[in-house]
Amino acid sequence: MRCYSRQLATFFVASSIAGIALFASALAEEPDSAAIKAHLKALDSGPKSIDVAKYPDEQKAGYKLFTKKCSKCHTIARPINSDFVLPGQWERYIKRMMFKPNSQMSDADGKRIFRFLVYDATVRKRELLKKALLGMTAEERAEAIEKIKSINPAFTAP
Amino acid sequence: MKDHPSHPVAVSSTVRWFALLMVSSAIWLLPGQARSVPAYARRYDTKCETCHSPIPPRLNQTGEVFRRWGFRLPDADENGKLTMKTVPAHGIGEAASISAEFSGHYDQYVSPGESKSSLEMGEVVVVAGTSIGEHLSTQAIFVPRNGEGGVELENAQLQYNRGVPSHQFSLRAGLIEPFLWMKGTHGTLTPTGTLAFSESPLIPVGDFPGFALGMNQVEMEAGYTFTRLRKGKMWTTMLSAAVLNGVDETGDKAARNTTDGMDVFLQAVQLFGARNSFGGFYYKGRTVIDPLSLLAPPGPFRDHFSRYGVMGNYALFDRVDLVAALADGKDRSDELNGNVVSRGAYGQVDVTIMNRWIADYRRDYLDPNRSVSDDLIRAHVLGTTYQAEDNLFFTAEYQEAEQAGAKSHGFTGTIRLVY
Repeated sequence: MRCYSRQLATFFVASSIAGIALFASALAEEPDSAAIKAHLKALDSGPKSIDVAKYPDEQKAGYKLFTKKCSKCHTIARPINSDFVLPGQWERYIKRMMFKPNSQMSDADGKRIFRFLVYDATVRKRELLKKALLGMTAEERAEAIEKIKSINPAFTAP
Repeated sequence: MKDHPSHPVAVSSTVRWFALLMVSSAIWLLPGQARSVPAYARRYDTKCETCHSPIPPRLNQTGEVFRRWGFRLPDADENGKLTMKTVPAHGIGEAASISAEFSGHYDQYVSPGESKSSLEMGEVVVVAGTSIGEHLSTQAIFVPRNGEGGVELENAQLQYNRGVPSHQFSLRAGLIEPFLWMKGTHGTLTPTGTLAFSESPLIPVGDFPGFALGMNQVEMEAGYTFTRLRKGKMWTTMLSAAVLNGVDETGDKAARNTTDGMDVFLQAVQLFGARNSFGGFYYKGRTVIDPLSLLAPPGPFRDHFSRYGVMGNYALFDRVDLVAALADGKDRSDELNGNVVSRGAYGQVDVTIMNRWIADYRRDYLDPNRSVSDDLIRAHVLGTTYQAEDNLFFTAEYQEAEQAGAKSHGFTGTIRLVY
């Protein structure tokens, strides 16, 4: 009986702690977190793979590495359905992922994944890429096109 | 110099049978302590793999730091500088996870009246934890149904963290899982706990049932965690010193100290690479046996005990992990008028067969009294775990234990649902 009372008491203490924690946490919610979560959920629920059958061998290998490394912490659908298309966007995003603790992504891995994603944008997201390039200054556009062409020489600039 | 008890303890066949029964029963009496908590992954919008390698519940370096930082995730800014990501729970679904086990067992040695084969509803566990504001965090683990059908509060702690991400000082208090190292001893990839680091005492000393290293205790702990991040590679040093209530005369955890002062627990763990580690610990405890003089003379007497050891793990290849630990113990018993020296160790190899499917082999060794020749317990454990979905685990495990030529065999299959 004494033991039962002690268990009950400790349970109530634990419940109170958890209750206080949840209450305090709810007060700290950021207003834009719901919008970000909804956006990420939309990306995550899109296609989960890319048909790379017609891609060059280098990009096929890049795709394999991309699916292995970039599905460790988030869904692979997230980068596949992302609206990132420009080399600068991918460079910044991949560097950020490489810096994540325990990313296990080397510089060489990062470069291969970068080349794949830039190539993939020229194939799957061609119209979006052209639109994004047109929104840049002439100098920025020339620099971006040069990077893209170094990976996919067949790309036709807008 | 080796310590010897003043009079050797004879190991009768009944004691030997009982020891083997305990080892065999350990299959379902000693669940792993590290737990996978999908609520944390939901909250941080990440996958199990972020904190668990090769599969849950074993923690990798990120998971260990997450735990020490009070459920705040190590992260990096655009320049690669270490940052602390805090996402507090905004609802019960983001704070709490529930796990339930269903298992089938075959056991060669069973208590009278029990079946050799059985289907059982195992543990049902609710784990809730969150950071609170900038410095506080809390965790509670409530077990509505433990392996023996009882209700248990396994963990209820409050933690205070202070400092920059690379230098974190922490203070935690409550009913706590004291070990920092959550690699092999607590949260082995299969349900069987290791002998040397078990939750139940396996080293009796006279009338004292013994002290188990894996026991949760009421304690207060001060800790320091140093973390360095360079190009995604972390290097973490964890230090802690704790005072604990220790155990009562029955070998069970003392809810409050009523016997003979506080116990002390010191730990140091180094984490390196993605999931490698090494560390050491020292535990100094004492308790009064027979405080009410209910047993035969000599009446109330003290048992002073210490436990110390080293442990580590190393990923030999991407798919192969080695885990090993060694723990020594010394009990100075007034009842036996001498010392009992014990030693336990294990070595384990885990192989990732394919993504989310691992197999492991472990060799256990426990010598309850090094001055007695025929009490050594050895065990082979062979197991495999498949994580079918984020929330569903299948485990099969075989254990063979041996003491003085007598062998016991046990087999268990477990389905675990975690949400």
